[in-house]
Amino acid sequence: MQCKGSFRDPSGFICQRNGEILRQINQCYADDFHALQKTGLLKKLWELNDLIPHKEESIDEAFSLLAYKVIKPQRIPFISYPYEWSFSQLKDAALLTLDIQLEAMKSGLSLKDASAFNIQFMYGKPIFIDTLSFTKQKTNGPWIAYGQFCSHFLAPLALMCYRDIRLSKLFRTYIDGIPLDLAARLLPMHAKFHLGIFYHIFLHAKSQIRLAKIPIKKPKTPGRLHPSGKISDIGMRGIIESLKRTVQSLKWKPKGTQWAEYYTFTNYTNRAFQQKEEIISKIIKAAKPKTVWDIGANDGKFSRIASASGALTTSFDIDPASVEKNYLQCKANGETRILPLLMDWTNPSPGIGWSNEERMSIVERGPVDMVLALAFVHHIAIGNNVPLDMIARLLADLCKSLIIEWVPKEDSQVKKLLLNREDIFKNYTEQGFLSTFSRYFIIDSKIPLEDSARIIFCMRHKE
Amino acid sequence: MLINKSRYNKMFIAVMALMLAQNAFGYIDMSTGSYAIQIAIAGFMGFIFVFRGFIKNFKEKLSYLFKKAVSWKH
Repeated sequence: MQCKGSFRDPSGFICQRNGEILRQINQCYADDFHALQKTGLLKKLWELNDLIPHKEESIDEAFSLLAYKVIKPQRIPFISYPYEWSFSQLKDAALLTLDIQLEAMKSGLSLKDASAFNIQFMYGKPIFIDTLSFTKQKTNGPWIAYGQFCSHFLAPLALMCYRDIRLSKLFRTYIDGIPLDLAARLLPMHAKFHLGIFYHIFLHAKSQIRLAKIPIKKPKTPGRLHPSGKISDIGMRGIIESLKRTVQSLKWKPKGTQWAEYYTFTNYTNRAFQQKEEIISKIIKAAKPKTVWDIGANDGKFSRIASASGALTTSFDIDPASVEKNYLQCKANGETRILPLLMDWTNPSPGIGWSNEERMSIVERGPVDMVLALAFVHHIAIGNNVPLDMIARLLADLCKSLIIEWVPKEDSQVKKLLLNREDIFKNYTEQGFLSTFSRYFIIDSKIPLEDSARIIFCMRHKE
Repeated sequence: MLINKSRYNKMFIAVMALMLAQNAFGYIDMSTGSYAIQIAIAGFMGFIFVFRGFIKNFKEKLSYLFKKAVSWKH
């Protein structure tokens, strides 16, 4: 079956057969693929761990008569999208794209796509996944993916850095990158004083709009519609280096958001927190899950307990500062089994793009062996008015086993949530919680936390 | 008379509409602008590169002359 997000490039497509991921390379891409191999670029990028490795399969595995080759790329444990990444994740993905372009130029090749969707995070680092993105560089020609790079990477990074970190969400609306004219309108005046931003976004946007308004004239050279002019190797290298310097100069320090200091201002005693860590660790070690989603991870404290037991852990949080902190910690410690991602579970990533199928929803990317829902339910049930039954149903769709923390109304955090509003949550009791969750799960254990009214429940999916 | 006036009005609006008509942007091609700005930036980068090389050479020559002058003094 052809993967739903793999249809735009005539060079080939990704398919799934008997649980295996295969990529068909079409005959029209034969020359470029041969050049990729012959120049040694493929091997070089594999050595640098920048490009997804693959093995060649027999041509008998082909899906159509157009096939030139069939390859089997290494499977990515979890697919994530740019609108789920933190600032530094997007920045690292941008730098990887530019490094690959620089490396490709040395071999006389160039990237024909600079889409942020061509990058995935695997074992703690970004990796380029589109092996069919390389093409022979035309002598003195432009970088055809320049505009795409600016709208997929530079514009969102500049908006996050100069305007507001939450603007990364624009990517969910603009699947092919943020339009540069929009970015130029949204960026503050002082962003124009950054030379790189000035010409790669402001002047670029102006040039796009200005030249788009000029009606197409009959070209002097047949088949040539673009402005005449040559770009020397030095000039081309200068553009890529300038983009790299611009991206490197964009910085954002995680602070001041709602959850960034969550563990600093918690209502736990040290003893209760320590006991919680011990309980979670013990349950995970006994269950031995291969995949874990920590769905309210904050800076990833409990995700680290899961990953220490060998589980590939996706560490979700709603707060960009927490996700950023988590990612920077993963990078600093060389942690390869945690992937921090931005996710608002009251409005999680939907299926988007063509037919709403091009990019998968988060529910489609499950289920996993285990979900950690610690200090989660009260925010969703009381903070967002989601009935307990709907929470239980979603969690049942996401996992086979569940570790969930029950936070009663007597808890100071719940009291805070109810401070300025009427308590309309009559079913929000331990009894109501247990009767609702037992519709979908078998409750294995109940462990009250010392010095706290909170309880940890360990549950198994009924089917 | 009234009919004639309204006919003139309609004709005036139609002529004005034709005169003020602009290109429709349903088929805009953003890549042309991206190409053009690349040519401009590449030219600028090339100039910077050559200029830096010139400054470097100039500095080297200057320091060479200065060293020569100092050694001659001694």
